[in-house]
Amino acid sequence: MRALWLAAALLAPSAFAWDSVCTKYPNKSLEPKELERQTGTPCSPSAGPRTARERWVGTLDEHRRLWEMTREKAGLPEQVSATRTLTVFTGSSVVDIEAQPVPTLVPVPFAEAARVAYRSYSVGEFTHLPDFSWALWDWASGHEICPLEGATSLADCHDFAAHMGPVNSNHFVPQSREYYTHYHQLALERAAECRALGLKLTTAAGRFDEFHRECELEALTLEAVGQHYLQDAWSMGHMWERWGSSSLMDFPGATVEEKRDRAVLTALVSGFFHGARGVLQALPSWTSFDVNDAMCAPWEGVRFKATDGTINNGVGDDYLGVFQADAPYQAQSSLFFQCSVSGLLEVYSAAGEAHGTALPEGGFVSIDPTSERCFGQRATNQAIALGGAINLKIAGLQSSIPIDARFVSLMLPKVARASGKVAVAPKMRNEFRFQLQRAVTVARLRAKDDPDGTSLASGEWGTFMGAQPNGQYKGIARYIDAPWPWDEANDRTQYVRRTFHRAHATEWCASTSMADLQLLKTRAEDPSLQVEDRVAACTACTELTVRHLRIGTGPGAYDDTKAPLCDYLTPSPARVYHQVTGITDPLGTATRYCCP
Amino acid sequence: MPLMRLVSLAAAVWLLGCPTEPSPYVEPPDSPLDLTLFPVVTGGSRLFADVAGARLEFDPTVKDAIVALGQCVDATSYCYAPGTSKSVSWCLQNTRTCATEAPWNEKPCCPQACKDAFETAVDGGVAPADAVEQVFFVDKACFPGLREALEVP
Repeated sequence: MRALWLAAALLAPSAFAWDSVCTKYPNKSLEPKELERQTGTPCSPSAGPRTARERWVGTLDEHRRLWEMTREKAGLPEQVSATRTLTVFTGSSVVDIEAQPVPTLVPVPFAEAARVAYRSYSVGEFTHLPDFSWALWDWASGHEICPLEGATSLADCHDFAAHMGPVNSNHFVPQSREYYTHYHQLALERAAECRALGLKLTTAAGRFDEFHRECELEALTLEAVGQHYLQDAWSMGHMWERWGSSSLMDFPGATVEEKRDRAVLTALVSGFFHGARGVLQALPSWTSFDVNDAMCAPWEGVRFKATDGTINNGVGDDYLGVFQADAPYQAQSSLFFQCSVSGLLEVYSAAGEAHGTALPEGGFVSIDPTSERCFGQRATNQAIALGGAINLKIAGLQSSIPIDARFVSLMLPKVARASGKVAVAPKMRNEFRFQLQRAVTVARLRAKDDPDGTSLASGEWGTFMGAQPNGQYKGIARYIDAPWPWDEANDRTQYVRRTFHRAHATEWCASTSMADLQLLKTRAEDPSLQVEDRVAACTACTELTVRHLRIGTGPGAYDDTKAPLCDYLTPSPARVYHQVTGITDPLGTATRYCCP
Repeated sequence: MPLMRLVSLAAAVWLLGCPTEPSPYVEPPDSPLDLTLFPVVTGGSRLFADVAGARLEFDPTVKDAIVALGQCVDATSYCYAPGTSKSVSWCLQNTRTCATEAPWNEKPCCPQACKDAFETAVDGGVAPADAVEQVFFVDKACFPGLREALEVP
């Protein structure tokens, strides 16, 4: 058994959360159930622009599966989970992915459209977003804009281990509550606008129901992003106040580099207590092992205290099957689903249930998903002490390597630089060793004194590398989607509005002028454009114009049975009058109007 | 029969080996970690984990106050068994007392100054587990070389 211990040369680690996956499939537009039956290839690189272009469906896509279970329990129609393909108008520039030029996904003003990008996704996949993207605006802009200082590339900027992981304290309680609440509120605000949009379309005889559904899906997408944090809060490895902030600048240090070093080392240590299966199991020399590392792995003694005072068994990342099906974890899953279903139903109801009436499971009782009931659970002291070890089974035999004060005292931490991994300064090295010794010793003693207490998980474990328990850091990071209402002049707002332009039809109807429509037409008719540019211009012109088009010749002479979308959504929209002999449908007419 | 007894005793010693004295001190348990199985990397340390943003190596040769501290507190924390005679105080007081100002050169031990500081804290009303934290990880003064190790540039 001892001979099987090898150095752990880790691959790019999975996120410390329920598992998130990115998979490249030959046909990206398929339904999730069809993709599940296929064999795709893991996204490469596993961070950055590549992940914005592929599907987040695959083996162990635990976040998405939790969402689907939530949807089923909430009784939302299956259509809510269908693949959507967004038509996005972009420029002609390219972005570098592994030295290959790839078309940009950054959406541009419609009149500047030079390419058309088709982006397929399903709402549930966006529960993975916080592990791949900084925000929805970031995904909308193809992961091609970095909101951080110090990243060396777009892939580096979005790399979990290098940048996202060091500031993922917001995936742990209590910060996760703040982030879920933020996105849940965003979702509710959008949902209210979607309901208003739907009401305006009541007299349209169903002709534009698609726009209401699109809007509702965007609201649910925001809820899905938020539910990542709610889901994480119910993963055993996340039920403690991890040290650190979701903003790098909150870490101590005279330079950004020092701040990042401290953040990286804090994340590394947090991962050990969380459970290191996600980073160790995939190692080539470890695949025959069962890395059942606490706290996420099922272990007798790894438990949490719920807000009702009950002590319950808990599991987490990589153990969704156990969470879902095993009797000892029924309380954990039951408590979680009551929160997640409540949140989903709130948003769906607020949006107007455009996809059909929700029929939640019998006996379901709704609660406030942002309440302490949903975020007050904490790992017991005993659970945290059990997390202070590397556990694995080799040929069925359980082995545990305690992370004790002696083990820690020999550690030599190194951090990444352009030249490679370098040792931290002796002062920081000794600080790391000493403070980790403190943490593991305090954990061991507290676990013996008060095994069912939750002081360690509740912010009473002291600091680490100068980082406070995350509950001490308030506020939302600046890279996150802004609170509602979004500033129209902000680029990030435009990235989302242009990507989800049908969902934001109300805004586009109100803001698009005759001059804008004329500009679209002029560009679409420009004979000097290259073919691809022309196709994009025609498509953009058609897409926008049809919403303003009255088939006819003027205000008193048009087909009022086919009034355009914007007539319903805004009091005085820009209007185009046009008719083509032999063509009676608005889309055909708009196409001929833009590109005769 | 004394000769026969002597022969029997000699035979027993030969068969069973010389009996060893149990350690009178509280000591940390043997570590299950076999460092020799981890590959050596540049500088003589051993590689444990390499993640994109960080890397953890071991330096099994390091000998300093932090290593010695680890031996001392592990001896105490492993020993402690609530509800038995092995209280935190008993465990700490029954560790080997360091004989020098360089405990990293000795067998696992705890400095007398730390033992005394611990008892003072407990007598002052601090809970024993909290007193361990206070003495060793907050005050730090009782452990030779510790403050110097933490203040190294």
